Amino acid sequence: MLTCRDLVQIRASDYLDSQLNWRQRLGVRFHLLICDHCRLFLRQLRLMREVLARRPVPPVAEAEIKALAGHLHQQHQQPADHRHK
Amino acid sequence: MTRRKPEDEGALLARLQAGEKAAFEELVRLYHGAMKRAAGAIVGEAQAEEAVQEAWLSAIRHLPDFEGRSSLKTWLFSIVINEARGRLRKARREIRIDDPATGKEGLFDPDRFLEDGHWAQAPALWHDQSPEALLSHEDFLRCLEKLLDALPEIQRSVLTLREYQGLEVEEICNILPVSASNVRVILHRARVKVYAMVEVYEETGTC
Repeated sequence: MLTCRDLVQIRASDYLDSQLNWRQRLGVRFHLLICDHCRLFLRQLRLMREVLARRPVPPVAEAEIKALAGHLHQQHQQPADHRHK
Repeated sequence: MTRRKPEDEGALLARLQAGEKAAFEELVRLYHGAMKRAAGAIVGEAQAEEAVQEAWLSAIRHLPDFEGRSSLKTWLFSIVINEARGRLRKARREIRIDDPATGKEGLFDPDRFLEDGHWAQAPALWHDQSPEALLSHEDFLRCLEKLLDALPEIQRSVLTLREYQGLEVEEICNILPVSASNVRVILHRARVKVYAMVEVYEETGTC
């Protein structure tokens, strides 16, 4: 039977990324039914993934935005054969 | 990343295709930083800027034909990922992989578990139970950025592509020269490190 150590050290990420076969998945699900600690671990691992998904991007300088946007706008206005390749 | 409603996107696309200058600024403001992060994860920070510039020019060339079948964001990211992947292949840049299949680096401290495999020191319940709560602490964000900067490059790349870009394991191993099984191992190790940092932060308020 799957232990807490195996679940945490070996299976947890593969479980979240749907990389387990049905037998392994069933093993994880059964373990989670009976283990509060591993349930909490996995819930917080999911929370951590959401944090990473929403991690703010560093701000881009306004001058850089304006310069790049200006250049792209100019490219868009030009006939296709005059554009920067 | 700013999330937009689809109806806003349709309007923005129409303004872009009509050549409205302010719409170009809006587009760059929305996605430039995130595109740089995506490119950096593939081709490295040093080459990210150039890859993104090229991706923007390519996007503008194809803008008249873009019909909005996918979101603008998805479309722009597919362009920048392709551009960065092309550069990575051309440079044949080696990504260092520190033997991900062996060794214990990046796993939880073995002392966290008893000999029979049960928890010796069980995970504690975090005070912050939502991403918004965690991300609202400036010192937490500093800790997170510091940790991500200190990760081996391949761990940072895989973690960014999976968690921030939302790519699947199979997609990542088509972009980076790493097998699917190594992507899985690398991903788990990177996650364990971030988890351990959050755990310390929640317990002590520092990292």
